[in-house]
Amino acid sequence: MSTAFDGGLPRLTASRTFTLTALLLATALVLAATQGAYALDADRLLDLLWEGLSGTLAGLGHGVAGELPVDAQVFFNIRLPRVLLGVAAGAGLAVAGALMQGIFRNPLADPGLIGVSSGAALAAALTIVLGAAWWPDLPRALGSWTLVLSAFAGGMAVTAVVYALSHAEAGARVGMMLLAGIAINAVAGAGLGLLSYLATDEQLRSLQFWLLGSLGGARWSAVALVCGLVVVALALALPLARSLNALSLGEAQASLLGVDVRRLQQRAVLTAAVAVGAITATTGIIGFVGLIAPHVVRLVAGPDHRVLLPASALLGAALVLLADAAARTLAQPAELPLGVLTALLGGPFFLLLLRATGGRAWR
Amino acid sequence: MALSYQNLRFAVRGRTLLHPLSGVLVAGQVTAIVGPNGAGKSTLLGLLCGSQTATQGTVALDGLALSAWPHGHLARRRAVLAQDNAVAFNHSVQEVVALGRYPHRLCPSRQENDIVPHAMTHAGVAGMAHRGIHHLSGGERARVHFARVLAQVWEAPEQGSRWLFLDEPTAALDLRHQTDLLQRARDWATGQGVGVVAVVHDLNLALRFADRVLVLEQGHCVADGPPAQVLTPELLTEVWGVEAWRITTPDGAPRLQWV
Repeated sequence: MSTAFDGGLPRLTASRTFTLTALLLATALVLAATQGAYALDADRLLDLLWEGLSGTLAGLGHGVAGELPVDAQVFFNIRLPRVLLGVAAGAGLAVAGALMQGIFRNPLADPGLIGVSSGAALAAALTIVLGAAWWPDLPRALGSWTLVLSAFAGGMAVTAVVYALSHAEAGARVGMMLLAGIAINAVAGAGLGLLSYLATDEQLRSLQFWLLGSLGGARWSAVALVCGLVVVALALALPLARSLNALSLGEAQASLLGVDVRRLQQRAVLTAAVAVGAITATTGIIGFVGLIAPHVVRLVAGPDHRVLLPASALLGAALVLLADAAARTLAQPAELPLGVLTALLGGPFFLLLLRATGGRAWR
Repeated sequence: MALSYQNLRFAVRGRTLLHPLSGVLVAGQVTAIVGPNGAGKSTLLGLLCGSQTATQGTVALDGLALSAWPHGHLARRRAVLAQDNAVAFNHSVQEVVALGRYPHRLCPSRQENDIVPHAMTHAGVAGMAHRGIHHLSGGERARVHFARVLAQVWEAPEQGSRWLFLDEPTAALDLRHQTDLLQRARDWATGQGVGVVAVVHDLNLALRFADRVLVLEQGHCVADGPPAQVLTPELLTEVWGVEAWRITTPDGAPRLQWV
C-alpha cells in the first residue's frame, strides 16, 4: 500500500495517490448527480450524458422544457450545473489553499489570508445592503450578474491592497503579507458586521445565505465562467510545483537556487485570488476545503507540490460534492447551507486525522 | 576562473559591517574565512555568493559582475550551504537533495538520475534517503543540505568555474563528520577545480584543510594568506584575545592550542 522501506515515511506513491483521489471523485460525482430532492437512477446517468452530448434531446438549452422527460430536465437544468460548479469550487479552493500554504511555507495558511474571501463578502454585502440606495442603475446594467461581479471585483481589489501593502517596502515579504492580510480581514469583518447591523430582515437573509455558501445558485452561464477560470487557475498553478518545492527551503535558499521568489509569489497570489474570487462570488463562502484538502494529501502522499497540487484539486472537488450531496439530502426537503456542512464534516474529520497520525500533519 | 571583489563594503542603517575589501579568490582552492563572532564573516560570504548586495563595490565571477549574471545561470555554478536550513514541509531526504537539481530542470545532465544518489552517498546520507527531514537530528540535517549543494554543482559548467560556499558547515557535526565534510570539499577543490569558500570557526580545521585564510576582525580584513603563515599564536592573541601556542602533531602537521 505504501512506500515504507528502510524505515522511511509511510507514504503513497504519486500514481496511487492520483488513483485513489480520482476514484473518490468518481464516487462523489455519481452520488452528487443521483442524490437529491429528485433521485436519479445511476444507470440513467450515462444514457442521459450520452443523449445530451449527441444532441438527440432537441431543444436542450433553448428553454423548451416541456419536450424533455422529467429526469433529463432535472439532470441538465439542475443537477449537472450544480455538480460541475461543485467540482470547480472544490478543485479551485483546494489548489488555492495548497498554493497559499506553499507561499507562506505554513500548513495553516488558507486562501482567506490574502483577503480574497472577505473582500468578496464585503462587496457582496455592500451590494445587497446599500446597492439599491447608492447605485440603483447597477442592477439594470449588469442584471443577475450584479452580485457575482461585484463580489469578484471586491475579492480582487482587497487582494491587491494586501499585496501592495506587503510589497510597499523593499525586502518586505510574505510575513508582511500575512500581517497585512490579517489587518485587512479585520477591517472587512468590521464592515460586514456594520452592514448586517444596517440591513433589513430581507437583506439580512440574502446576506446570510450568501455568507454560508451554497451551490444552489448554479446557472449554466455562471458555472461556465467559474469552470473556465478554475481551469485557467489550475493551468497557471501546476507549473509552479517545482518552484514551490524549492521555496520550502526558505526564500533566501530558493532565490540562490534560481527561483524568482517575487514572481512566484505574484503568480501564486494572483492565481489563488482569481480562482477563489470567482468561486466565492458564485457560491458564497465555502470554508475549510482550502485548508483540509492539501493537508490530507500531504499527510498521505508527502509535500511534493507536483503531487500535492493536482491531488488536492481532485480531493477538494470530491469533498465539496460529498458535502453538497449531504446538504441536499440530510434535511429533505430543506437544504442545509453548504458552508456549514463543509465545516461540520471537515472539522471532526480533521481532528480524527490528526489523532490517527499522531499530529504528523504538523511536522 | 576566479571570483574577484573590488572595494566591497556593506553597511546597514549607517553602521558599517564590512569595511572596503578587495581581492581575488581562485577556483580549485579552499578559502577559509575566520574571525571572532560578529566580525562580518557571514556578511562577506553572503556578498561573495550574491545572497546579499554590497552597499558599495562589486563582486565578479569569471569576469562578469554577479548582478549581471542571469539568475538561473548563477545557480548552476555556485551553491550555498547556509547556517539556517529549516525546511517548511516534511520532505524526504531524497526530495530535499533533489531540490539541488532545480536549476538544471530545463537542461538536465546526461547522468541526471544518478546525481542525487551519488550526492547522498558523498555526504553519507544515502541510508536515510526515504526518511523525513523533520525526523533527523541537526547533524544529519546539515549533511543532507551538504548533499543538496553538492548535487547543485555536481558537474562542471561548459565553461567557467564552479563554487561552493559553506557558512559554518561543521557547526552541527560530530568530530568525524566535520573532517569528512571538509575533506570532501578539499577533494572537490583539488580534484575537480571547484572553488570552496567556507566560514570556519575551528582554526585547526582551517589550518588543516584550507589553502588560504581570510581573518576578519570588526569588519576589517586583518590577515590574508596560507594558514600556516597567517594563523600564528600572536594573531590569535591579537584577534581572539586568547593565549595560544603552536604544536606539531605526531604526523608532522601544525596544530594550534589555546586557553
